[in-house]
Amino acid sequence: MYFNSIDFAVFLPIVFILYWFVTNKSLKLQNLLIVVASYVFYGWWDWRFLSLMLFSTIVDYSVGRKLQTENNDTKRKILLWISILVNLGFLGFFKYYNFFLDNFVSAFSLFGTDIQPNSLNIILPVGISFYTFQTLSYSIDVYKRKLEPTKDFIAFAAFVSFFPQLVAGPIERATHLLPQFYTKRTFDYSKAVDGMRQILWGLFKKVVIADNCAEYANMIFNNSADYSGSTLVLGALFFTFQIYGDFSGYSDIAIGTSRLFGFDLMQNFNFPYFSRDIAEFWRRWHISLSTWFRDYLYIPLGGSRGGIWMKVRNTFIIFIVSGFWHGANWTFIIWGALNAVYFLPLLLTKNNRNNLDIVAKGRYLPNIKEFSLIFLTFSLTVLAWIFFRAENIEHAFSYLSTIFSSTLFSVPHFTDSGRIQYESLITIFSVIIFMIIEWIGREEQFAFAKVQKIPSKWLRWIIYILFMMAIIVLSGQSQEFIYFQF
Amino acid sequence: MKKFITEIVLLSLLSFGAFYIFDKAITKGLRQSNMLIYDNLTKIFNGKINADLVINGSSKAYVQVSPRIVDSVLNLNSYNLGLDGTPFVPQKMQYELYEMFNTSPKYIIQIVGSGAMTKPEGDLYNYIKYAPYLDLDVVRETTELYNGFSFFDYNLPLFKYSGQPLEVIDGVLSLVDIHIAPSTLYKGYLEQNMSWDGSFDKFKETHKDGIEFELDETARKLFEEYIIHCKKNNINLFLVNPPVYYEFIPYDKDRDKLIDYYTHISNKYDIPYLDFSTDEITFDKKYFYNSQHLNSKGAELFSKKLSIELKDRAIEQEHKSHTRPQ
Repeated sequence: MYFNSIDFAVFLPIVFILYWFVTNKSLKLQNLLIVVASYVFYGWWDWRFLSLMLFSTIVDYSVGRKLQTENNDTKRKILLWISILVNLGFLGFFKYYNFFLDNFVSAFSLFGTDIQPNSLNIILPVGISFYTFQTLSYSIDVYKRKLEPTKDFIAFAAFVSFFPQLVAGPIERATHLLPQFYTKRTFDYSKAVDGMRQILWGLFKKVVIADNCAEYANMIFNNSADYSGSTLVLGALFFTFQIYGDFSGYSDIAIGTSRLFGFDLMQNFNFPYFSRDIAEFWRRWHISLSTWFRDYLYIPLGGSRGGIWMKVRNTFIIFIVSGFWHGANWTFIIWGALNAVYFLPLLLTKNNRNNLDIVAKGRYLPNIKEFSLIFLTFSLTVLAWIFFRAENIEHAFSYLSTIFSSTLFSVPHFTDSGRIQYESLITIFSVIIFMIIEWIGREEQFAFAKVQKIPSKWLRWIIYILFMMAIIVLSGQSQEFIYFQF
Repeated sequence: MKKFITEIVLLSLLSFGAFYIFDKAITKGLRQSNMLIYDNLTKIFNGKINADLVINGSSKAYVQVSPRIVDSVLNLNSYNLGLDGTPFVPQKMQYELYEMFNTSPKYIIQIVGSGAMTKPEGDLYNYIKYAPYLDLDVVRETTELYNGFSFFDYNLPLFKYSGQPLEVIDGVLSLVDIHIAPSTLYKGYLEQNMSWDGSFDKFKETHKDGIEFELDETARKLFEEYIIHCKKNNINLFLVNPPVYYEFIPYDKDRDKLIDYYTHISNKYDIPYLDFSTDEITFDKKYFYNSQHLNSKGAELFSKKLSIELKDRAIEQEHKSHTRPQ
């Protein structure tokens, strides 16, 4: 079920009413309702994959329980590895089997050996990368004794399958989300209103910004050989806003929906396109994944404590693994490696924690230095997104070579249709308005939260109605959320 | 909780009211729009056409029959209602709309040919142009047969303009008589001043075995209803099969079947059927911009030939009606 679908518009109020009016007397019943609703939500795509989630839940719950009673280090390690192997095994099979197979075949063919492999027509279960990481965090934290394992299977199942963030995050840590299933939730008016505001903002980002940008990004990327360098830059910019609107929009809807049910999820995006360096960008982009890799991969590898080579190694590992997490394609690996290259100079010169504050805090505009840094970081990010969006490495490099040709200075042109030209201008205008709102609201959890500070209720309501109208009128052709494929 | 629910309900009602008012404003504006896709419907709806002769059909009417030439030869007031990319069923709907707001014509040139009698289903080209008229039964019933509008578009305000910012801008501006891209059609006719575009070569590569055109039963039934309606209302109907570039003919696998059908209809209802599909004009590439459409030069020549033919036929018909036994 998509957040931007009629199905969800019917599903959400039903679950909300059942949650607060029917099951509100019992915490167990409320948690059970969440499990049932989440399984319905997930099964809406493909009910067959519910078994995977259930199996993963049972394994991690059982491993957690065993880890609590087991004191033998070796046995504890074995238990942890069971959890890791089951979760990463599913992920590896469904997401990476064909990738590795194809690359083995290519590698062998280099030595003149022709292999006829049995490639499988595998359907990738939606959101598998998200919920496997979430359950893994539970097993690892229990293993490290950072978290008491739960005895409540329903609460654990609800934690694994919690529908607002099940398929595209934020990837919650068990230490943060699981305890919320133990305590009785009481309805909080201001939290719910704030949740609704965040849902509205998320829908705007997804339907108006991402879906419209997607149309032009697809048009340009899919026919990149026909266009000039300047048009390809425009295509990369469209994709830059598409992916941000799409993914952060999803996170906003997820967080807002959770708030309606009395839950707090972690912030997943913190105005990344206003970052002044790449390190700041990665503290603000897909925060739940970046911090996951930091805590469960980077720090266990030694982090930045060792010598230069260890820092370089660890930085490349974390960025490449992060890239590979996004998809079984070399383009994602190059995207990750490119970000490592961007990040490394900051780390080695100990400038990676320079910009921890909010840019131009208390001021309307950034100063020239801040603006230049934002522009530079944004440009590097756009360049990296080309690898992320390209079909394959050759496509990415040919895209880049056209950008850095003399046609870079021509006037962008990607269609002869007057209608599409007008509509693309409306999209560009919408993106500018969107970024202005983001800038104004950059000190909040999400930009639209700023509306809360308008004293007149009627003015706030007029703004909500105008945004609803904008969502209807400016909606692009419905596109799937990009991060579902991850 | 009570406060939250009350506010949600209140906000929903207010939103509904705001959407309703905005929808009405856009609809009113678009019914005055003269942007290319709206121009004909605007004139129809506002009763601005009232022609003696109506040219009805798809793009084969829209870009091929010039009212300027028809008027000069026949000395009457004609108008081209050609609907780009559209088969007969929506053409009939538009004609019914025409009759609702304009006086009935004395003559109709109905451009037929391959592709006209397809089943009413699938995508409706430029479906958005019907959005301001969805409250009219005839439009609703026909558009419901096609993809385009959803249940919500018909029943909730503003949803029919969802994802159509250009329509909304044009609607709002037209309301205050500002027109962003006025159409350059002459009495509904689009002059295509183009030379051969080469798309037929691509077509030949992708359709080596030719192409089939269906003769759908629903479309046929509606076509006969339309003919009977014209007969009842003393409208002289002429079925015209327009020129197609001669090299296309071998690719039209259902050509004979279609010609037989139109001949049969012509005989059954005693209406003239004029076949220009093998006229000498069809052999000269310079008159076409693709295999299916004449360019402005070809359209002028065809319009002239057609008008002269009609002049003779009309006189003949008039003569027939005068000598018909009382």
